Amino acid sequence: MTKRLKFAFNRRQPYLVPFLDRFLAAASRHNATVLLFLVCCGVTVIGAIVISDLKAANSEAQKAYSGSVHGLQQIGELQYETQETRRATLYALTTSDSNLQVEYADQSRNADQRVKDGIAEYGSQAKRPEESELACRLARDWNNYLGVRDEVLASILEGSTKEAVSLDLSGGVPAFERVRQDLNEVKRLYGEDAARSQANLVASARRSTWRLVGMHSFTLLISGAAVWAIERSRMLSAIQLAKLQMEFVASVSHELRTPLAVLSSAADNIADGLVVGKSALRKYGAILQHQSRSMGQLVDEILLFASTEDGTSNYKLQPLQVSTIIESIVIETEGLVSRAGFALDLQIDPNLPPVLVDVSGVSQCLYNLISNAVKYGGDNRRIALRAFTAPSGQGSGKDVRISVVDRGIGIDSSEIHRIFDPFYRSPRVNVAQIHGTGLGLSLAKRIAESMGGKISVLSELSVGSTFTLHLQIAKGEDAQTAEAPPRSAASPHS
Amino acid sequence: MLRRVTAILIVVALTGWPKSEAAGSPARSSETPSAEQGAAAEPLVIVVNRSNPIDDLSMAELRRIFLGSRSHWANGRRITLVMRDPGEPERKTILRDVCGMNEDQLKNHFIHGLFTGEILLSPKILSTPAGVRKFIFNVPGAIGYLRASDLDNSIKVVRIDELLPDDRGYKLRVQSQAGN
Amino acid sequence: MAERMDLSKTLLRIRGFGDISLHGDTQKGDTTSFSLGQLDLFVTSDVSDKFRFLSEIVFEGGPDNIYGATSGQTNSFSVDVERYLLQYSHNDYFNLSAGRGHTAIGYYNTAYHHSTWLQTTTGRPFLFEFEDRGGILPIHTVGVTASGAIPSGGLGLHYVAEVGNGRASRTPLVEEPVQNEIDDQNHKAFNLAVFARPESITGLQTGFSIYRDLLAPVNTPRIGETILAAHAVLIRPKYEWLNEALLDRHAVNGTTSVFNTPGFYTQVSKQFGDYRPYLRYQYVNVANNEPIFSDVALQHGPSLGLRFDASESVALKLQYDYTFLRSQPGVNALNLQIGFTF
Repeated sequence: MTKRLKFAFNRRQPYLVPFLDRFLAAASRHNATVLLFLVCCGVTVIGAIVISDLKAANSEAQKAYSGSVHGLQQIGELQYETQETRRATLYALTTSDSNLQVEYADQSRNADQRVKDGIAEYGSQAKRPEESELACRLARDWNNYLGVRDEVLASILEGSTKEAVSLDLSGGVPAFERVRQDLNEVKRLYGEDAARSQANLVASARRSTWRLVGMHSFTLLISGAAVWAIERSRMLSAIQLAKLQMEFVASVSHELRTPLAVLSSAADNIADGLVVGKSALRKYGAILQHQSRSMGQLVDEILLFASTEDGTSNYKLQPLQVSTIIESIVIETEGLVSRAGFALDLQIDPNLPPVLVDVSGVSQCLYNLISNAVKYGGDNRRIALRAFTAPSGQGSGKDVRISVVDRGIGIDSSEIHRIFDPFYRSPRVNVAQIHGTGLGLSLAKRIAESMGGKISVLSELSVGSTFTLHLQIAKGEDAQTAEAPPRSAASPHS
Repeated sequence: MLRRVTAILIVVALTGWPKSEAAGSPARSSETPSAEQGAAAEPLVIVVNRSNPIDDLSMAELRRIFLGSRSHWANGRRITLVMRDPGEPERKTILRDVCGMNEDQLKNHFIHGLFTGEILLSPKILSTPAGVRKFIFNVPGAIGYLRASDLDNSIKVVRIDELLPDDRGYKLRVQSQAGN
Repeated sequence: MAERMDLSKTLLRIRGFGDISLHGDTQKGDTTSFSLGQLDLFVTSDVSDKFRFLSEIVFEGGPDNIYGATSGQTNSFSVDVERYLLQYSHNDYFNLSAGRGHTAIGYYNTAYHHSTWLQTTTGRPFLFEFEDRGGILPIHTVGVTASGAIPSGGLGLHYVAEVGNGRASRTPLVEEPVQNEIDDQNHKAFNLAVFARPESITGLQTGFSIYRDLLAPVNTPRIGETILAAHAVLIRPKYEWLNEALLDRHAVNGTTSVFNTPGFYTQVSKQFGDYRPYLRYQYVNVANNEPIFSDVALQHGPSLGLRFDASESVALKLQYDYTFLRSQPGVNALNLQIGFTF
């Protein structure tokens, strides 16, 4: 590589590597297996091309070989049978026994018929115009010779030996010589064909070799790039995971530190005797109670997330009326909503069918969504809670949807596919110093999926977000036994 | 005395006048015509090369050909006579019904003819019907004979006195149970 | 290179004939003797499809007897090329031969050549005896002969037309009577013969011939020779009846002298198994003052014989001849002959 190119390459590198990292980061979300699969597909395609090329070369070689063998065989047989035709005719001269002469005549005729068949076969297989012309010429010359041969045979059989000899000398020998020259020409054309086939074969082999080398090199390059990509993707994933974990630890530490600091301060005050009087004690007691409950909820949330990590579901699904769920969650989030100064609007469709849910699971899920709506609701302090039915998108079925709508900061479209990742928190919320563990949405998604449903999101920056919980409709007997859920004991951590 | 003896001999010779001899006289006394006629007979066909323009021959013409008196066809091609081996039923039929001779007489006739120069070529002798067919197929001027069952498409059948072998009155017949 | 045929191959066919005799007669001066007859080599070769070569080479013993003049040594053998012909066969209607052959006078001369095995009798009739055996006819000719069939339907007509050197006419003759190499005069001999072989009668042949020549004997005027011959023969496998008659007319040029020499023979035989008895009667009457062959005079008489075919190639013959002679006692002769072919 020249200095200029190196310089250009190095200059480009700062732009190239981040781009690659962004690409790999995007690719790693879909798992390195996909990348490996693509590499395998590429290798398979390349392998198929190589195999096809090898097959073509092999087939060409076989064709050339069998063509040569067949051609040689054909020429050999033609030459032998023409000689046999003539030989049998001359043998008839060696005897005066008419029976033997007739046998030799028969042998000559049988041999000449085989020659005619051979010439016809050569003519039918002729590929080039000169071969066709040669076949016609050979047939013509052979027929000319046979005309003389018939006269010679007749003379021999009649007993006019001298006549036969002079006929053969004057007509038979020159005619046979012409046939022999034609056969030599056939041999020469076959030789040319064989040489041409051999040259084609050599060129094809050379091409196949280069192609193989190129394919191999390309495969190595791609494989190397894929391996590098996979490793880099893993590295990036690991870095990201570590980063997220660090963020989570930092966030959890902060979340824990805050109530711990309050607890510690309150305890210090109490220990120092600064808290006098029942009202002050009651106030400090409430603070201790509240902070310790917050810490408990945080720990519960972390433990709950950990428990869902293995993918197994401990939820018991049962039919439940939607109204019951709504009433319950409203009660649960009343304190959270009112403390943040928000108003919760309910828009519940009448006659909603019962849904198949886990009581605590659906409460946790909706609590997390409302909690996020409060956290990221912005200055417009209104949250809407809607319940309705809609086509589920699977056949002719429907599902029940409970949407939490806020008019908050919204979510950037580039981040929307990551908001359900564990520990993920948008850089914007970190900048805005909005605290959280990054587990709420991930947990809500896992709970929804465990109940056979899902969570969908529609969001626009600075406009707001709508998180929708999709729930299965309870069918048949399940629908008849739908009952109200019990009131949830603990409030989730904000 | 001598004259008397001569006269007696003349009378003896004259009394042996060929009253029993007609055209196609029987062969040696060892042959038994009655035995031959009693057995089933199939036609003996006269055959020539397909290029031969001859389609019909009289019995007299046939005799001339088989005795070598005629040496060329009308198209100028030399006549080549094809016979079977001595002793074959087909040959016996020809000798009896066409030549009117036995083997020795035929042989002497040909020797005599060759000697005088009247006959140009001796007949060719073929051992098998297939040999006869192949010979006639190869030689444009050849003429021979075959049983009707030995015919094929390579050669041509000649009518004798305008009769085909299957026609009533066809004279040449050979024993179907050959003494081959 | 294509294989070529062997040019050294030839197709000469040689057939031989011979005979051995034991004969005795009552003529003064003759003895009962064993005689070697002619050893006849009959050679043919198919030169081509149309050409054929034919020859008869004869080894014979004893002196030549030509018009009564004897020449050559007794008991010694000499070689004669009796026939030497190149034949061209165009078709049945035209055949041409050139060389030395038998003159087509009558039937016997062209039917029988130098082989006694082929003949029924032990020897030829007087009339057709060979020139060097005392015969009076021009048996051989050196020249060209055309022959063939005449389109005549069932009549079976044939013709022979020949021109040749004729015979030497010097008397007394001390040279070969057949003029093989040089004709003693420019005049040629002509012969025309026509014969019929009707299909209606198997084996029958009847014919007629006219021969013309000019003889030039020494110290005598030239003699025009005309030989008229007629024949009627019936040849069947077991039976034969030969009849021939001729008239040899010599007319001396410049004179009114004409000498007619008549001759005839009749021969009959029948086959009984391997035996064939035969009878022949022959006659020739030459005038005493005949200028050419005055030694013959009158000869006639019967021959009685029996032929036995011991095999297909060997014949044994026993023949008794009685010959009447003018102004001489008749001669009885007995001949036992073995004739064979090989």
